[in-house]
Amino acid sequence: MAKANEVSAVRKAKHGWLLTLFFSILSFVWISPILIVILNSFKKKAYIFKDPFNISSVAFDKGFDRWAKGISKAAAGMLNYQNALKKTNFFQSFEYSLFITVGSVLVILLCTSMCAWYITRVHTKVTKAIYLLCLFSMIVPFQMVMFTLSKFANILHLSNPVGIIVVYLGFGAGLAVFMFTGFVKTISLEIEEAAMIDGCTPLQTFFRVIFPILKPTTITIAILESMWVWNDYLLPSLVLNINKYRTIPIAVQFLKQSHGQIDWGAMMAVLVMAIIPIVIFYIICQKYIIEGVLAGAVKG
Amino acid sequence: MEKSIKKYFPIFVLPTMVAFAIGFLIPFVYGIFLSFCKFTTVVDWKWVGLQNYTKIFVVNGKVDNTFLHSLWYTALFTVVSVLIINVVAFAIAMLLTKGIKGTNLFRTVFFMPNLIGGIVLSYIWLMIFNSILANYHRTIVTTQWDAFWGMIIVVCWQQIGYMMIIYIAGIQNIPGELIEAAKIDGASGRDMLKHVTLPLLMPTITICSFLTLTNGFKLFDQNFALTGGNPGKMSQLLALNIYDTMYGTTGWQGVGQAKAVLFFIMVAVIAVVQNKITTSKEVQQ
Amino acid sequence: MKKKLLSVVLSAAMVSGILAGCGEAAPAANDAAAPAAEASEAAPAEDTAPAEAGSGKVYLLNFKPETDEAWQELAATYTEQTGVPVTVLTAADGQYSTTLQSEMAKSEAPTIFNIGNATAAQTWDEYTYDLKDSALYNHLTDKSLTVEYNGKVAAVANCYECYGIIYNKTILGDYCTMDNAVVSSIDEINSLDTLVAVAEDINNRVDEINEQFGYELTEAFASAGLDDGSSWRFSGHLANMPLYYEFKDDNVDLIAGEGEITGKYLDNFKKVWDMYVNTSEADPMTLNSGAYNAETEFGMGEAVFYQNGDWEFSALTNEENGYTVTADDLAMMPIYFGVDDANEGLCVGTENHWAVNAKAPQEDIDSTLAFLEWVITSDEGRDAITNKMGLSAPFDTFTGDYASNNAFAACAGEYMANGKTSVAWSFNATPNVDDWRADVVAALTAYTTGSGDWSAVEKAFTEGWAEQWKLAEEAANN
Repeated sequence: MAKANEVSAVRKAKHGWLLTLFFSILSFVWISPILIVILNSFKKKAYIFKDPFNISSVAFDKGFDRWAKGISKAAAGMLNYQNALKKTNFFQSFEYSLFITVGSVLVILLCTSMCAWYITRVHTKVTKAIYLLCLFSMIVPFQMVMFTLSKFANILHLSNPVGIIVVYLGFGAGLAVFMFTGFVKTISLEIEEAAMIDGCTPLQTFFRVIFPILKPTTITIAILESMWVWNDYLLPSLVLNINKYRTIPIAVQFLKQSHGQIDWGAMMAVLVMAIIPIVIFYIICQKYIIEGVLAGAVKG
Repeated sequence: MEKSIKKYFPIFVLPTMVAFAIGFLIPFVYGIFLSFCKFTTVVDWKWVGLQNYTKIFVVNGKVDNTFLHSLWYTALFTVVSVLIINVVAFAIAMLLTKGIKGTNLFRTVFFMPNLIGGIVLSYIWLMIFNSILANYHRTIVTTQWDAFWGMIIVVCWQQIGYMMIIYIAGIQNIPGELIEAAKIDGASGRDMLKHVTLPLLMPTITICSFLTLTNGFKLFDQNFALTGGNPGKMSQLLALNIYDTMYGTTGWQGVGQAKAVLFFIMVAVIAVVQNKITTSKEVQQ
Repeated sequence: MKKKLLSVVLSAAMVSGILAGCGEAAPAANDAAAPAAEASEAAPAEDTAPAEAGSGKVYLLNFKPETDEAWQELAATYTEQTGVPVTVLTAADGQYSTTLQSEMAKSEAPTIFNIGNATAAQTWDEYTYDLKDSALYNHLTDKSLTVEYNGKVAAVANCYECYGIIYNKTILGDYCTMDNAVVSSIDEINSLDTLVAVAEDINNRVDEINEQFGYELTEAFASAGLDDGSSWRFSGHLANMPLYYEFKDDNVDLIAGEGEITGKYLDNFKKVWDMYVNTSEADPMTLNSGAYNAETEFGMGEAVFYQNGDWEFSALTNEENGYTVTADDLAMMPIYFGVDDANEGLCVGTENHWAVNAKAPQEDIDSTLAFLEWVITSDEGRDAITNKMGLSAPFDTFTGDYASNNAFAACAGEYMANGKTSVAWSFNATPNVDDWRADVVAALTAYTTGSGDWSAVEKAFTEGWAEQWKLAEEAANN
């Protein structure tokens, strides 16, 4: 297989630089909204709205000198960041967000992969029903269950970072089970059967044989679910005790005041601070993602 | 083998099922029940039968088209977004598995928009759209079609990276020998795509189209932040229409709930059909 | 266990006795100082305090995100002094109704929540406790600052706000000194016609003004954004004017309103609206884009006039925002409407009313009422409301150091002192607020961009009102 890749790499190398150029331009366009956020996070509130694309208080067509002078007038330095830290208690929020995201995703991955394997391998009416229910749960608009869910979570005292993990497992199970079953179906039965004949219990078979094979899907689902939990606003705001446990999206909402006044400076700063750790996390993990995917390819 | 696994139900399935019941099933059933009630809070309801359902279509004795409008608007939106997202994500995934320089960087960049929540980023897009459209004396909510394409752009931008990763995983899963064999047989690039890559990618396509489909139908944040349903209520997607009914009109929480139930039934039917179509094309390995 | 229960019942009984006494003892404004002194003296004496404060729990669901911190501090102070647990939860902006609905269903529901207007009072009718006999209502200076529904005082204002046309008095003053200026002093602007003439003149002579005084003016009126973040200024606050005058003519309750309106003053509404649009630099075609930020325009000294309320004061004067206007530049005039300009003052009212949850256990209700009384009578409470939250409280206990320091609120007082009549917030009567406003804004947008005509606005205004009113009634009687 390694050979095959080399061959195609050589064949494609002719157009390689063209593609690289094309993707460089596209990437720049793609990322520009995020660059605009970063740029504006260093500007004073008044100038954020006036001209979001400009780093100066003066338009560029008024002459370079005036424009250059205007930069210092529009600059807020680290003020927005200081404000954001102060107003949102950012590090605390960050801890809650991190705990809830990591906790939920780990629990979701473990429980739903087991569930998915079971319902693919065991064919009964119950497992069929479970699969269909999971499908259905993905298409239910959240608005339909939001109040009943918050009431039920309240009855069961789930309004804390540990309790909400149960809610996330329940609400996120649909997507994860659906995706895991899709992958489990492609795994050939022979491997499992061999393991079982060697005397493995189903639990051992699952953790020693199946779970490693599932790695590429696990990683994909981990990303999808992390992004969802990390950015989710409505569910935690209804379930959690938001006095105590403000996740980052909740904290961001508190930068908006009544009468529609929004502290855009602090908002931009929080956004940047919230993005940085995930980007780092993603860049670190990307290596594993590719390894995981390749590992899956060899075995598949 | 099936038998020996079967008795492990409590370990394998039960934890997920219990959480599923708490986080979804019970609230969902209760939600259906509430669609037949008038209620202010969920513990304080009064049975009103089908009244909520008739109010969806008839208001003050007149036929009300808002729900129907948002229904077809949502359907159209979903179809267009599913098509664009999947085609573009697939194309980028194909190109980014060829081993060109900077692949890792490009993948990261395309994936980045997912890392940020929908509401706030929609505000950023709003600024961008408006500063461009202002040159043409238009806004993102001048007509429902400006709003439509605006939302499409934002949604594509956010989800293409998401789907791209899944496609890349799928493409890299295709055994190298198969591609080699096809090449030795003298298959052209187009033949390869049509007879090797696409059929083998069907499971991935199923997943991606299903994900984008449900995302499209359930879209709320971007709709809420970007257009707010304007002009009038012309760019309201269903989720926003439901939300709006629950809060815009006094005592209509039940009607909102009824709309959600109707909506759910429709999406369920569509999703089942879609799933049947794509899974039937999957290659059994 | 039984013993504990008994003591709870006993103390609850005691509290209700004391409260009843208080209510009778504090009848008029002049006695205001007495209960205040009582409260602050009683507080440090720890033995008696818990009984007075009640044995229940207090849970306030706060409406204004910007006051969250001050409320948390205040709650902690009260708990420290009396031992009564006070929870304050603040809903994020735009999420109040969602949060309220979700919290109210929980086992520990809020005991104090916000009621904005008649619509909300109707929705939450079963949950509102009649505040007629409460100390809160007694201390209220203007008894019209309440929401009455179903024969109850369902909610009492916790602050009052005023809005009108904010203007930059430095720039406007300089304009008045110019040759050929329409008026020679700001005081001469006392009617709609004059205001229109002044605004048009300023807008036409922007360059001249800039040249002469060195301003960076671009327009007379700050942009009239029709996006969701700004349109309420017109579909709510400006729409209040025709509603107010019509209710006044019809002799109906100015806040409760009536089911059918004729829109007889909509021509005036049109005139004001046209002035906003025509004397502003904003492109009428793109007013609904959300790209305009009127606060910024006014704050940067680009506009002279800006229709908004006293809540803008802190935003405009906060140095971190980078605005060029200072507190000395700021003043507010009435939205002259061409009906009774000679007697018109600023629009004074509020959308922030406290309601007490009638479904809470009696001891919680008692504790809650005691807490609210403490908030408006104690030094800590008054200091927090006036100085930390920056609100103008409508209670007779807020005098001296605790009087509002908001320059716009001062304007409202000045107009009142000069014998002008404050305009009530009649828009609080709007049935199904969001729906009605959305239709009016849609029609107004169409009119402004030229794709629709004024009659559609009139239709959305009057027919939409009747329709929504009917729907709301139906929902209430069902």
